[in-house]
Amino acid sequence: MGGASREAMGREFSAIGAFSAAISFVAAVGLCTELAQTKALSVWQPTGLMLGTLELAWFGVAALICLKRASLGGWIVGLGALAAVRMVLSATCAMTLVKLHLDPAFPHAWQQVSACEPRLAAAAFSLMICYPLRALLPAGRAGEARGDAEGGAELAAQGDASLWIVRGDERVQVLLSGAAGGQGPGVKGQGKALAGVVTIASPDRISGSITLPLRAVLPRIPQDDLSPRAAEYAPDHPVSIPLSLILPQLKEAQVFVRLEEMRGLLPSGLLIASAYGGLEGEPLLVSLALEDVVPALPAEVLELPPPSPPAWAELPDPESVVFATV
Amino acid sequence: MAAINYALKEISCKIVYYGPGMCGKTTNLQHLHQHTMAAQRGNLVSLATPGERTLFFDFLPLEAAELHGFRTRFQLYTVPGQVMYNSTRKLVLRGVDGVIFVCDSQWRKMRENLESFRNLSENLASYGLSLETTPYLVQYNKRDLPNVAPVPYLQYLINPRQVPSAEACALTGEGVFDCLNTICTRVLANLTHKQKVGVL
Repeated sequence: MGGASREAMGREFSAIGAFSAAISFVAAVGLCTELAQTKALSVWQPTGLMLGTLELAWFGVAALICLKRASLGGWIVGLGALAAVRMVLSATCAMTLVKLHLDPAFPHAWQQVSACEPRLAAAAFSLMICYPLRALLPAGRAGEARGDAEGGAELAAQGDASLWIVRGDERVQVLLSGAAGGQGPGVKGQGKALAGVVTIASPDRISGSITLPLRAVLPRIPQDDLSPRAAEYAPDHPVSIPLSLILPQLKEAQVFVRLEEMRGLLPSGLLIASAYGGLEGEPLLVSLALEDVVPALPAEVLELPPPSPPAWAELPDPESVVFATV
Repeated sequence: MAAINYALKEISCKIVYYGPGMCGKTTNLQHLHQHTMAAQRGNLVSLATPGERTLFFDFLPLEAAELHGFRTRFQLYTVPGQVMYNSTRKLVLRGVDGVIFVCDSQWRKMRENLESFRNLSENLASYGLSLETTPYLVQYNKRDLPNVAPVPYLQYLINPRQVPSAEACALTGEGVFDCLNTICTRVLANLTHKQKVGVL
């Protein structure tokens, strides 16, 4: 995983996240201990198997919702983490009961905390405790593909216009409006990758691609995301980049490509498996140098429409003013 | 807004050199100051930091030939290009008659050129002006450097409407007078037109 994505992960799993997880844990212990001592609310008590199934379903759905971009492995790890936290929580509650001499022995205390109410409360709190940890799970191809599909759906909703929102330290918002070009505030930091959320519209009408040498692309990718195989490729190895990615941004004097899109353009195995850029919905952007991209463009791309100068430019000259010529 | 003094038979117009930081606006004025006849020019007033960054603005008054019995004077200003001095840029644009937008042709300055051009539009709008009504010219400066963008891309980026534009190298003076002559002609044409339609 790249330096920028690790940084983003660090931001996500911040001190505040750790603090909220700790607070949730303490609150959960208090509540579950209290519930364990309270008489059951209803006469009917579900069996252990029913509770176990309910818990597993709850954890599974929660992991699926919270870890949209996680791989199958990540999802299983998430599921396991939730179950483990729930067990630790219940064990802590049982130990608290023993410690407070409310129960003589641990097995009996464990039985108490395994009743319906404290167990369900522990399951709910497990999710709260684990939520800040979700950023640590690896992403997979499936998650990325799903993210792309969602991006495409957003895109369709936006029609021709596309919106780039790059979050992070360098917070920029760039409005792009197709190849015709729109006006919007800009992005600083050309030549380096940015972590951010991107919803890109690539006009369908633009076809074709340009070819850049690998040496023009590799320095733009965080070194942490490159596999050792990167050194095996010749610097002139061609990398084909679709015009549909480039043209909508050309009017903004910048060309960014998402790292996950770059993966499909680069030779296979050049990026490490976990290089997708960071947190869910925050892919890494790779900035391509204009001096590499523009000369490679077909000439017709830069063709201007017929001149449409303002009225003042077409007024007849009354007198020409000549100060001097050198 | 051009000032016409009928008593003194004098027309005074304001031309502003606009563009991103370090693009060569002050160098343009310095070249003009060095290469115009002393009788034609006033003093070049420049408020700059020790690092030669324009702090407030540069000012150079020039006098052109008489037109229809009126002395024509052009007051040339530059703006500080640094992003933080926008209020100064806005102030300098007050009453502007023509703008020379100086583009830095280097690749790494493309984004700054674009932002500065948009900033020009915004600042003109704050006075109820626009590039639709204010004559301007695009100067592609620093063409002598090796790492410059091709003119077609600069046109594509900054000047898709294809208003008058010129390549220049302010350091050697190439294109500097061409730009000034062109914008002054356009400003006077605009002035004449305004008089005809009764705006002035």
